[in-house]
Amino acid sequence: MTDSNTTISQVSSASDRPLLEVRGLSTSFHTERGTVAAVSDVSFTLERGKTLGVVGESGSGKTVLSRSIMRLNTSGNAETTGSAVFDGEELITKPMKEMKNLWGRDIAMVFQDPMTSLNPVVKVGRQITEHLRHHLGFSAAEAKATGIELLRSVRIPEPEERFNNYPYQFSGGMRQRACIAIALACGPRLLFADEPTTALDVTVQHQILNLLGMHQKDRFMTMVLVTHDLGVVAGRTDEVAVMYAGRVVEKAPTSLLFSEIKMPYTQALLSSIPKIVDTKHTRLAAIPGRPPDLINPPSGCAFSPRCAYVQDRCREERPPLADMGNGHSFACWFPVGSDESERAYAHNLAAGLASAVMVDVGRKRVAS
Amino acid sequence: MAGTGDIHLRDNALLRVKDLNVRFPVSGGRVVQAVSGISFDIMKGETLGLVGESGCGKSTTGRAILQLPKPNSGEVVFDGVDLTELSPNELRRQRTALQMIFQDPISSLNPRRRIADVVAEPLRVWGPSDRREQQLKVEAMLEAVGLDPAAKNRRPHEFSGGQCQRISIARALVLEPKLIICDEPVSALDVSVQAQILNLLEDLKVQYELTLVFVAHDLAVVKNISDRVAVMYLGKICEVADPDELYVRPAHPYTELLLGSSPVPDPNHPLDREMVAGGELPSPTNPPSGCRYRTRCERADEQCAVLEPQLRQVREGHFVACHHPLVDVPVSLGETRVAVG
Repeated sequence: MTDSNTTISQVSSASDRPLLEVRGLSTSFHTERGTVAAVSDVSFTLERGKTLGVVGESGSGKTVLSRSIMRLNTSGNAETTGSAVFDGEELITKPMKEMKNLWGRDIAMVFQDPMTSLNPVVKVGRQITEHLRHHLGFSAAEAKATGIELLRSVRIPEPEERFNNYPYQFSGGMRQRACIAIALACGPRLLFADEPTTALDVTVQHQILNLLGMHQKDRFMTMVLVTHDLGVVAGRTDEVAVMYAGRVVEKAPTSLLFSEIKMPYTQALLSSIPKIVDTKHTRLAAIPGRPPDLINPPSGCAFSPRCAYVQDRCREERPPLADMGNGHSFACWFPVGSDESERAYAHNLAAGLASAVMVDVGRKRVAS
Repeated sequence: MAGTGDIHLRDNALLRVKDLNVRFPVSGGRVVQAVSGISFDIMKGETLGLVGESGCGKSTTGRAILQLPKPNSGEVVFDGVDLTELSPNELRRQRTALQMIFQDPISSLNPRRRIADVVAEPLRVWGPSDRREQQLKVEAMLEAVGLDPAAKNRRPHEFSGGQCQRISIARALVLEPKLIICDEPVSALDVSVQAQILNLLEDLKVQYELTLVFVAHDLAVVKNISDRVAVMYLGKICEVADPDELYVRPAHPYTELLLGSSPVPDPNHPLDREMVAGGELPSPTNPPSGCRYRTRCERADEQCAVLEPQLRQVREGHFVACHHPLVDVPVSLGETRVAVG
C-alpha cells in the first residue's frame, strides 16, 4: 500500500530501544466466585521487526495478556497492574482517550473470529477506509484507492468489486483477509494476532499465516502471534513464550525452544499432539488432569498436579522464571534433561504416578 | 474428486454406503449438493476417517448414515439391512446399534439434567426396566470412560469440556452399539485433553468391539485413529487408503495440498511466500463440472472439466479419483475390482 506508511515504520525502526517492554504485568477479574488471576507477573521485551509467539491452552491467559497490553479489558471487573511501555510510552496508565489515537494507527489487532469482528451492516470497504480517514486524514478518494490496494495486498480477488461488498458476501478466509487489511491499513508498528487462523480451514490457515508473515517481513512490523498450536508458532516466530495458568513458564528463541525444551509442560504439550509422521494408532502421551482453576490455583508450581517430574518441593514452592543466560528462561525446579529430573521421574514412574506413566508412553514411542 | 465409483467397496462389510446423495434446498430455489454420489464401506472393528475442509460434506455423510436427515438417494446397508428402506418404527429399533458423538460436548448435554440421567436416558427407552440395573450400568459406563461414578449426580456445567465429552461417550456406549459416528469429537478440546479422548476411544474400541466413523478436519488426528481414511472434497470422495500409505504417498493433488498445509511443529520450516492466495471452495450450489477440484488444481486440463474421474486403484487398498494422479496407475490394478480387507 502507501508509501507514507512504509516511511513511518522505517523512521521509527532507526531507534534502538525495544518497541515493547512488558514488566510485571498482571490482570485479574473480580467475579462472584472470587478473583481470577488470569495473567500473573508477565515480563518480556520485544525488539522491532520481531515476532513473539504466545502459546497456551484455553485459560492460560494468552488472550488476556494481549488484550491487557492493548487496554481492551474494558469491563469494570478487570484490574491490570504492572507496566507495558510501547516505544517509550507507558500504556497501562494512559487515559483511554489517548489510547484511541494508538489503536489502529500504531497498534492493531487481528481477532480469532472474523465474522464477529467485522460489522455486518457496513460495507467492507468502509471498514477499511475508516482508519485511513480518521488517523491519516485521507480524502475519500485517496482512502478508497488505498483500501483497494490493501485488499489486493491480502490477495482478495477483484478488489474493486469486493470493496463494495458486505461481510456476509465473503467466505471465512476472505473475511479474515479483510480483517488483516483493516489491521494493516495505517501501517501499525505492532500487530497482535490473536488465534488468527483457529476458525479457518487448514489450507486457508496456511495461506493466512504465510500472508501475515509476508507482511510482517516486508513492513518490518513487530508482531505478537497468540495461538494454542505449537505447530503454528514453530516456523513463524523469532521467540516463543509458553503460558500456563496465567504465567510464562518457558521462553526462548524459537529454534532453541524446540531443540532444548526445559519445562515439563512444554514437553508434555508437544508430545501430546498427534504427529502426521507417526504411524496410525500411535499411543498418545496425553497430559492427565486438566488446567487449574485460576481462582484457587494449586500452591507451588501450577503444573505440579499434572507433571511427570513432580516432587514435594514443586508442590510447596513456586519456581521463578530463571534465565539461563542465552535468552532461554523457564520456571521449573527439575528441568527436562537434568539428572535431578531423571531421578524424580524414575521415582514417580516407580510409584505409578499417572503423568509419569504417560511420559513413559511418549518415550517408548520415540524409541520404537 | 472428485469422482464417483464403487471399486473400493469390499465384501462382508458391517456398513456399506452406496451412491449416497444428500441435497439441501437453499433460498432462491437453488440446491446444495452436500453429498454427491459417494460410496464407502467399513468392516467390523475398523475405524474409517472422513477428512476434508468445512463444506466438504463429511459431517453430512456421518449424519446421513443415521438417516439424520434421510438421504435423497442411495443405499445405507448396516448389518445386512438397508436403513433407507425401513419404516420409522423399524429405524428406531435399528438405530440402537448406531450412536453418535458430537463436536461440542457442552451443548450436546442437557444442562438441567444430572449426568446419571443423561447417560441413563437411552436405557430408559431400550434398556432393562429395572431401575437398579440401569443405575449399575450407568455407573459402570462412567467408570469405563474415566469418570468417578460418585460424581453422577452433578450437572454438566460442573465438568470441563473434556469431561463432558467423556459423558457423551458414556451415553453413546450405554446401549452397547455396534457402530459409533464421531463428528469432530476432539476439535473443541484443548490439545492436552484431545490426546486423552483419542486414547480413550482407542481403548473403548477394543473393549466394546466397536466400529467407528471418525469425522474430522485435522489430518494428524485422523491418521492417529483410523484404519482407513477417505478424503472428501465438495461432496465427493477424492481418495481412499490406509493412512500410513495415504500420508506418505498421496495420489490426489488435493490430499497433497491438505498435507502440505498442516502446521508442522518444526522451527526450520520455511515461510512459503507462494502459498498466500487462492484456496477458496467453489459454491456447492453450483459445483464445477467434471472434477470438482479442478478449479484449484495445478494438473487440471480439458478432460477434467468434462469428465468426472472415477475411483480407481493405484496400489493395493489405495484408491484415487483423479485423471492425473501423483502416482503411476498400474493398469492391472486400475481396471479390476480387488477385494481388500
